[in-house]
Amino acid sequence: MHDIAVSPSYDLIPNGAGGLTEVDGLATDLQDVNYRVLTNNQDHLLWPLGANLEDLIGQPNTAATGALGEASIVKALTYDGRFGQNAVQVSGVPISANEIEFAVGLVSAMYRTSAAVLTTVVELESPTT
Amino acid sequence: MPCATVPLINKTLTDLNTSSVARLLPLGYTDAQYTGTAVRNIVESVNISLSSFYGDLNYGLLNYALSTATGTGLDALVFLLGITRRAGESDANLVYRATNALTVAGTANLTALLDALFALDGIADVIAVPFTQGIGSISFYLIGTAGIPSVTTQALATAALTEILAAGAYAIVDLPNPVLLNAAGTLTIAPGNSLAVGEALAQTAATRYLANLSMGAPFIVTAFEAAILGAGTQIVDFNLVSMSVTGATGTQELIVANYQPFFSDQIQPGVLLIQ
Repeated sequence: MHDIAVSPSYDLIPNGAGGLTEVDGLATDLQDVNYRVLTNNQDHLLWPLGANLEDLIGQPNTAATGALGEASIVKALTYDGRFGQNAVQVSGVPISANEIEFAVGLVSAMYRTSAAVLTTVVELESPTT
Repeated sequence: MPCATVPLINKTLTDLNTSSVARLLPLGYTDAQYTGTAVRNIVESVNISLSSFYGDLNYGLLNYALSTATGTGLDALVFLLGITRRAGESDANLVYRATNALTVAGTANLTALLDALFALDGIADVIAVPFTQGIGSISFYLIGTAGIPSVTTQALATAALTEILAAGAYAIVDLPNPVLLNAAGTLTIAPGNSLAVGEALAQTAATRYLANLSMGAPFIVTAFEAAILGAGTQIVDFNLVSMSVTGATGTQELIVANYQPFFSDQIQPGVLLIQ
């Protein structure tokens, strides 16, 4: 895939020659995954894009919450065929009492191996003391 | 109400997005086929504004024609015809009235008056009966969808007719109480003269008077009386009890004062029954 490049904060990147930097291949996939995973539904004006990870905030740090986040990410990446069901690997791992980290990997013949393209941390509810 | 075809290429947001993607793919931006990609987000942002602009253009164009105008655009359009929206009136009804006004202004036909009454809510049928009040007059009988039309509907009917009349193609007929000429008696012939001759003279005089009424001229009762009385010395007095302009006589048709005939083809006196 070929696209215009954006920074992690979704800014356009000038190429120094009066144009915009462009991206190919895995870099394109990376910014697409980044956009979809970090977008919440209704953030995007026209399409129901987004993994809605903010919905997890306040939930208990349990395996069920992790599974819910994984399913949301998979749905966000595959709902329109941008990524195939078998090309996406998502795992949610608790990294503290109130945080869970989701790692997204892409599997394709082009990359030969699974490529971890994104990790994001969601802060869950604070543990009761 | 048939809707005119407006010859503007109105592009929706979907149209614009589809077109944009179709242009981007050949340029190598293959990611544009998916939503949420960088290049797709950029063109969709532009297309949102562009589709709004197209929508404004389309709104303006739709409101230039009576058949497609709506809302305040329609209000402004029909105002040219001297018509304003009634409280709670629908666009369809307003268009109907405006179209009717145009018909009146253009052709001044009876259909326009009937249409104005048909357009009212609660009216199932309208029957127009001409000459019920004399030459040039016409009566409308309203048949309601549920019995006799309400007082409100009758008032709206009067207002609708008045509005059309005010457009200039018709004049309001001021119908005072019917005036029976010389209610005292019958045609009185001077002694020694023939009743048949007197009747013929009166008939001729009355017919001539009506035949010479031009379109828009007032019917003057006193002049009409004078014309008959002046037809000959044989006529001393008379009583006009019936008059018809369609060739048939009817006792319910009375001469009324101060009205104006509208169409020259209606000034066709038929049988005048004078006693």
